[in-house]
Amino acid sequence: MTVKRLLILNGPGLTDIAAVDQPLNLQKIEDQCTSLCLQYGVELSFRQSDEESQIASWITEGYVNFDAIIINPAFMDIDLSRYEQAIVAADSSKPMVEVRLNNIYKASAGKAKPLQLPAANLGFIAGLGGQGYLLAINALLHTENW
Amino acid sequence: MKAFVINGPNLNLLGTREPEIYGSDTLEIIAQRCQKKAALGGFELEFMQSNYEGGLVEFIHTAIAESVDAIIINAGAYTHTSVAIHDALRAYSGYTVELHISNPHLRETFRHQSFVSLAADAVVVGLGVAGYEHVIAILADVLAEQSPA
Repeated sequence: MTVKRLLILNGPGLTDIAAVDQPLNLQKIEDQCTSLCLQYGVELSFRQSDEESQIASWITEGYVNFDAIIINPAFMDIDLSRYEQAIVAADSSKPMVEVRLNNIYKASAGKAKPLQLPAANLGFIAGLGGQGYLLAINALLHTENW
Repeated sequence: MKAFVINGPNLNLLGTREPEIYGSDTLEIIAQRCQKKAALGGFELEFMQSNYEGGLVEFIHTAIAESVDAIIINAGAYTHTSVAIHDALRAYSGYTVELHISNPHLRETFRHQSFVSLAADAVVVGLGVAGYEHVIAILADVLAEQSPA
């Protein structure tokens, strides 16, 4: 069995939560993801950038070098089109899960939108805090095409 | 700790209804798997289904009356129409997770609006029928993180 490779991308603003001593701490989330991946023999690359273009190029790289991608676009009102273009261009059936720390719908009174890509193999998790990442990893581990 | 899993219209047809979208597992099988996960997590779970909007509202009222800690709700098509379910969830003070087997945002535009999302704490969609078990597996940890230290 080949080792599965997972890429976790965190978008703009997520470093802010890392500085604060609270349950939603990006370092703590990374540690929890790392230990879950270790348990299942999954190779993890956990990344964060405040540059949307950097995230977009990581998406492109991710579809080539990894078996699945988990993405937290971060800012609720961020323009997702750059990410969506990178996903569409990859034209891949590899699974992707979008994770949001908060329930973006409730927080925005229904205005916020998730990634909307009919061709993509896409799950969406919002509002579970750091646990959302762990749920996403568990879900990917049980996905047939992963 | 106690949780309800509330299922809406047409979910009793799982296994035979459009299996390319919803999978081949029946609701009964999903319920059994959920019970196993809940037992592992050390909490009580009640699994229910109704094809009636008012039936779903009354399940939520029961959760309120019994001070159930969490509701996982797949309101099916009522998700996109029911202000009554939204209002009942607003009256519920426990933790609410909205769940869908498919990702409604990748489907017809009439499925893009959710009244349940506006009243829920969390949303989990597009992970197939396994989504139920995955949510139950982390539910106790989520509730522990929600409560003030």
